[in-house]
Amino acid sequence: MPTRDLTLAMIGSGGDGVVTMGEMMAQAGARDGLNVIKVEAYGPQIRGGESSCTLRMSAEPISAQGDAVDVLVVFNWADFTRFKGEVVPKADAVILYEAADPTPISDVKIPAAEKATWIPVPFIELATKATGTKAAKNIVTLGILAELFGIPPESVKKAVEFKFGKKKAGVLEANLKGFTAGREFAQALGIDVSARRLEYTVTAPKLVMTGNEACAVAALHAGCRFFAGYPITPSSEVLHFLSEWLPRSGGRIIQTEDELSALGAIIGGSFAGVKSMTSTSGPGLSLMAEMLGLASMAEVPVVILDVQRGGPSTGLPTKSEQSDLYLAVFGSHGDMPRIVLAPTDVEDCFHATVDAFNIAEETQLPVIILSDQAVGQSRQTVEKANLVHEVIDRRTPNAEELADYKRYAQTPTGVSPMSVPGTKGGIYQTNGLEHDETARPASSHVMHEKMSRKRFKKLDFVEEKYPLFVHLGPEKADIGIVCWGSSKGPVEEAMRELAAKGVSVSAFVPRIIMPFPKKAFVEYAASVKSSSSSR
Amino acid sequence: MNFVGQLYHYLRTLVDLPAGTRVFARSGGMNLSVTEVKSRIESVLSETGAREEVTA
Repeated sequence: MPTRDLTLAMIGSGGDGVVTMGEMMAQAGARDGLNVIKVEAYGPQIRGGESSCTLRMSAEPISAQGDAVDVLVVFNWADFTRFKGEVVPKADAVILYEAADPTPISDVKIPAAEKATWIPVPFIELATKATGTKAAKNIVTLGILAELFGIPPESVKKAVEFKFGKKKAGVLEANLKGFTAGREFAQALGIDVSARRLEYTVTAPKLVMTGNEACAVAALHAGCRFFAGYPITPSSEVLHFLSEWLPRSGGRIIQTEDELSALGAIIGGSFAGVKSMTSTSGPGLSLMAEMLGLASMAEVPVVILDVQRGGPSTGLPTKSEQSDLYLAVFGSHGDMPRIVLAPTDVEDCFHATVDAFNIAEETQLPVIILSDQAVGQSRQTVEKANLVHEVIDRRTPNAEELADYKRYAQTPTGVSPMSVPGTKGGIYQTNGLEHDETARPASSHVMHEKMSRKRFKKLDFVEEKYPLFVHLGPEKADIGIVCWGSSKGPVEEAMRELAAKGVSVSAFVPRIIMPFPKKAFVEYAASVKSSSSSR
Repeated sequence: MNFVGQLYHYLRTLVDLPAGTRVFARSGGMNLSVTEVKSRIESVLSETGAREEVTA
């Protein structure tokens, strides 16, 4: 009986094209309206080392990558061993492996896959014969996978054409030959893998993008026209994407010498009236701590995207960990208000980024988006219609306020009108010094307390206006789960499976970490049975 | 998903967490799996015979 949910994993060395193969299959699935989640994993050397790509395609709603894979493609067993424990085939998985691999198959131990179907495939030989180069073995594999597992060849072919259509003459044709060779090989196999064939009805196409791309697209949507950054895994894709698209949108981008400079540059850009953003990962956010204080003291809106990775220090640069929460929430010198948002999936990266710009502009505070590698670098399908989000612009002083302009005027929300340099009557100077309402340096303890209270008052405004959270599951439940960021996906799927067994579970997922939606959380805790008792 | 459970400790600075709150925290390097979440909930149910809270 065919399946409606298929997880494939491809493993090879850098240059084998496993990630490209996964991307083309993801595009093919999205084109047919399937739900797709694709994750990649690399060794810390990033380029040239082992790489894996896991792709889940489903006709049903999905929230997480598959725990175990239905189909495993191994170009090199030596690389596979580096992902042991991370890529786990199901007991009855279909395993396609390079027939010419020097590792004897008797030496390959996959205890979990005791009932697996093992298929040796001469990937290199097929690619070389069909295209003249072994580099096309990933395209040959695409042909095999499409044929064996019910992924419509026409959709995959379109993805191949999209990938190679703009290359020099002959490249596309050679790859299409490789694709056909793969299909013909699969047809001649005569192996029954019908239980693993994907069965679905084609529906409207979906967008497919990574969390990092969603953040970059959202930044453009929100009106960001200046980006400064220093490349760091796993956030570099934001820099790459915006380096192409910001100039086309009338914006500017610079690669700075380090992260401290990047934040300094965007503080300058925002001071000049341009919505500005930087992206980094944990070690970069550490370097930004000094400038965070300046943004908070000078009340300059900036957006900082932190795609978290394993730490501390260089740690696990290519792997996910939710370990920068303390740094984002507390890291600074002095009392420093800031906003921290936490997107939960690729689509939410879009909304969190627009929210970040809106809140930054409304409150003139630094806003940190705490994404993580599992969200930032995973590729998921998104409904285009869902990428709609209102954009809020900065409040500039009106004529009355400019008549006696006070840059840091006390207001009920703590937010003062911010003039753009060059505005008649709106002149002021600012820096990291404490100041009075007119922005003149002031070192009295009375003024320091007064202005600190003004700055922190903005958090009350944000807590009231942006209680961002998701409540999953029933209104009242026996068991409650609190999680954040990329944990939401597996928690949501686990809840679905447990609910089917009659276990009553709900979850509270904050999308804003600072200020935390306390009121909503307390109400949620009261909705869970066990929470009514006290410790 | 980190060794010290940063979300849990942060929450404790903000609110009184309900009695019976359990912490599930481990180092990163591998994404949280559906199986992990399910087995954690099931083990809490079987350990206590009652219903508890789990903080992931």
